[in-house]
Amino acid sequence: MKFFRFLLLIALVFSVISCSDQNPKQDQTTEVVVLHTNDMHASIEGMSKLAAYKQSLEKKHEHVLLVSAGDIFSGNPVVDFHNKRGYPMVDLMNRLGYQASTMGNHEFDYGQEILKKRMKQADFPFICANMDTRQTSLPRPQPYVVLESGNIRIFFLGLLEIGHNGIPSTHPDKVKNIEFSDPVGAAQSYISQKDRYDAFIGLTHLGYDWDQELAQTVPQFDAILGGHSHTLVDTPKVVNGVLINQAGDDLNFVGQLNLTFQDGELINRSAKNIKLDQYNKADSTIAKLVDQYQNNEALNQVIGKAAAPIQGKEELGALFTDAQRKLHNLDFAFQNNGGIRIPEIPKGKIRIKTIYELDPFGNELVQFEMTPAEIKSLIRNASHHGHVDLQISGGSYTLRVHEQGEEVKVEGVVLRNQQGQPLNADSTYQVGLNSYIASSYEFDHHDEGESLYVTTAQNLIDFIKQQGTIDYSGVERVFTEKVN
Amino acid sequence: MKVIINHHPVTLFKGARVKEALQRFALEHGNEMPHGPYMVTDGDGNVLRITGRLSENQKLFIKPQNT
Repeated sequence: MKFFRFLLLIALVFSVISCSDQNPKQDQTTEVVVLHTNDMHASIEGMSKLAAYKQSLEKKHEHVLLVSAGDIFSGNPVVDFHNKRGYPMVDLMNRLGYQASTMGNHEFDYGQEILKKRMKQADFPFICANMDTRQTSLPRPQPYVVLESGNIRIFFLGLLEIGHNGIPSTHPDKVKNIEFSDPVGAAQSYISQKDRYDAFIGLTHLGYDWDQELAQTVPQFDAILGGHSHTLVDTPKVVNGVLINQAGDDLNFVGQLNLTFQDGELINRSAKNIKLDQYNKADSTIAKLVDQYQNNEALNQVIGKAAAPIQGKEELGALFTDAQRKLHNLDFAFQNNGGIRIPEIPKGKIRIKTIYELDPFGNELVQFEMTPAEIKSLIRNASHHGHVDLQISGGSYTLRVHEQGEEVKVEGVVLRNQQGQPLNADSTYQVGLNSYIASSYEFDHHDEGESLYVTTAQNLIDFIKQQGTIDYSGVERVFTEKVN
Repeated sequence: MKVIINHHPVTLFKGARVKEALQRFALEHGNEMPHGPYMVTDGDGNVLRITGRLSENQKLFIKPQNT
């Protein structure tokens, strides 16, 4: 009898254990904290504070996740010109325990071969559901990642913006042979996954306006954690039942999404942005590593050689504009004198830091299709009181000025091609301008222009590397002629 | 592309960022630029950082920083 009672007890205990195995989430409340960053742009300075903030949360919460909504690269020369371009960012993200990063348009900036290496070095997956790399050597990113926190399984879908030309905001050469599709359509094809997981989240690089449109079309998302527009959301907004957040840029902020589950059901969600640059704790190990990266010799790298000093606005402007025109197969390029910030590049080795001193503004190159009359309107309007302001590549020009007392007027512009011939008035030409000229100067243009998504500083570095040795001594392309 | 800044349409090149929108707005409506520090927000009052990319018909507001 005692033996049977013992067996009954064993059976009872076993059945209780079995029941709890079958319903693991019953009567459980679980809180999951999702930390999210976007548009870090290689700003490694904030990493030690983010690490400390994450650790402080982990002391209070059992389940803390860390994800990125894209654009981890580009914007900090120390990272961008590290001998393994972008590696410091991947290394630090690995150490902080990032669990996913959506592909951003700036992830392509270093080229596909380098991105491939960084993807392999990352301990986290790069995710994107609307990108197909099968025609390239780039690994195909996972469309989504499922992160588990205890019994809770959260689905994160990666989505990347595309523009009118069907590619993300990057130079077309950077995404050659990669196929992109409509991100909203891609999101719709994953709606059926919602029922399989405890939370369904968009980890997007679309921009805040597009995130709201996505929420209108795909209300199945519990939250959208976004990037690309660098929006610092003040009070996270609920659109069509979807909570949307975005946390500024450059790791000045970290987003925090709190999800509460009861019996496996999402019963509460809230989001806020934490100001990291005023957070007063830092992880000392990460801080030390960041200092090592900051103090590296990246900016002292030699990229080429000047055969003779490159002096004054005309010679330096010729270098600026040749770099723009020749690297992008343009007909003409122009550079404003005000954007040339050092008086000379000395003879000898040219280092990266010199280029950032020469061109510190972060301007991008913009391409316009222009007629000769439109190009002349640009030159004429830029030449206030007959003062030359624009340097040129692809030809030369003469300002014809009329002086009457103290008043100087530009009477006309004579524009010539490289052979010294006037341009055909009926032709159009591809013209490169920096983004400051494109937005701040008055000129006629039938084409609205488009960014080539490369900074003019990067363009100079690429050009000098390609040329090896450069010589601009005595270059003259802009002339002034007095007329009566 | 076109964006709307303080209710004024402003035309920019494709792929422009907030900083270029500010430069254009200052050229066309300089008298409406706040004196002293300012911030740029979207229609919901969220701060836009200057390197953020713009989208077609995006609404921006330039305001003195202390409002």
